[in-house]
Amino acid sequence: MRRACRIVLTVGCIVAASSVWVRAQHPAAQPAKAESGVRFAAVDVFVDSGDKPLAAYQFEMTARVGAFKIVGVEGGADAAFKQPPYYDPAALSRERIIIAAFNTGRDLPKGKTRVARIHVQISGNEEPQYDVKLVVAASMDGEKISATATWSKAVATNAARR
Amino acid sequence: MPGYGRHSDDEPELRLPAGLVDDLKRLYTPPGTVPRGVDDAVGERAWRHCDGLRARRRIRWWGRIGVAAAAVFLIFFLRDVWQGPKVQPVALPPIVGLADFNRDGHINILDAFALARMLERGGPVDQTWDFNHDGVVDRADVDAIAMAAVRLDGGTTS
Repeated sequence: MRRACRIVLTVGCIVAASSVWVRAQHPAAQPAKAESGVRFAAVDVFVDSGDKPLAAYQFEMTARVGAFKIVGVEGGADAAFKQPPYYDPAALSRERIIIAAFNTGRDLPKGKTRVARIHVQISGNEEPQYDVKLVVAASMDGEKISATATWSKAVATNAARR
Repeated sequence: MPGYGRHSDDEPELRLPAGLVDDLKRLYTPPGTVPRGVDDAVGERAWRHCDGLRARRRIRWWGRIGVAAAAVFLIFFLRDVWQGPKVQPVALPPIVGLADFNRDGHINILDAFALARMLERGGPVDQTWDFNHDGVVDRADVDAIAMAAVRLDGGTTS
């Protein structure tokens, strides 16, 4: 009986120690601890094409500060870019994404317009900062136009409220 | 009463008979010395018994270490077998060949835009625009160029 108790105790100690070690090696296996610093947010990306109509754009967004993962992409505010844009699905759960869209119609936005909303999962307490680099923008004739891309934190969304 | 409870051997009523004394002495005197051979045999058996105990204790320790090693092995084995839910990467179709439709030296959304405008105009279609090699030039080719343009592993340059 005493022998059985000792064996059980020894195995129990080893199992406990190993599980602590495994959890230390794989932080993802610590749901309670990891969950505490995780939150969701949305980032709006704007393209300002000045007085020219915006028919196509492509930008790249990366992390400048903070740890986050991209979890979803929405279209923009204007009807011309309401549909979800093109992006590589591999960008989901990463910190870098290339987004692009075009519209061959005539009713196109001018000035500063929100072209996409990107949902991110932020880890840690640091507020992430993003770099948005406009690759190209074009007007309805396909000619490149001078434009700028900016970002701002979006107001609370369904994902953020969840 | 002074001297109560004290007795002397001289008191005749307390003296044992000589025969009884001899019998008692004979009864309680240890037998003669143990023969050397018996002593050695008993000692040897005692040592053997102790050795057996030590060996059993050693076996027990090795058994515990074995169980512990098996437990550790099991944990690592299970950890390797179960890695948690894996996110399957979504594979894009291979980058379409010659997707630089507008020949500006870059594969970007403007190539897809140019082809889309061309198709909307409804002009003659060149089979070299069949970028996804499905036998027809349509919106799927536009999407293929656009997806090539946004690939993370390159695609913005030709």
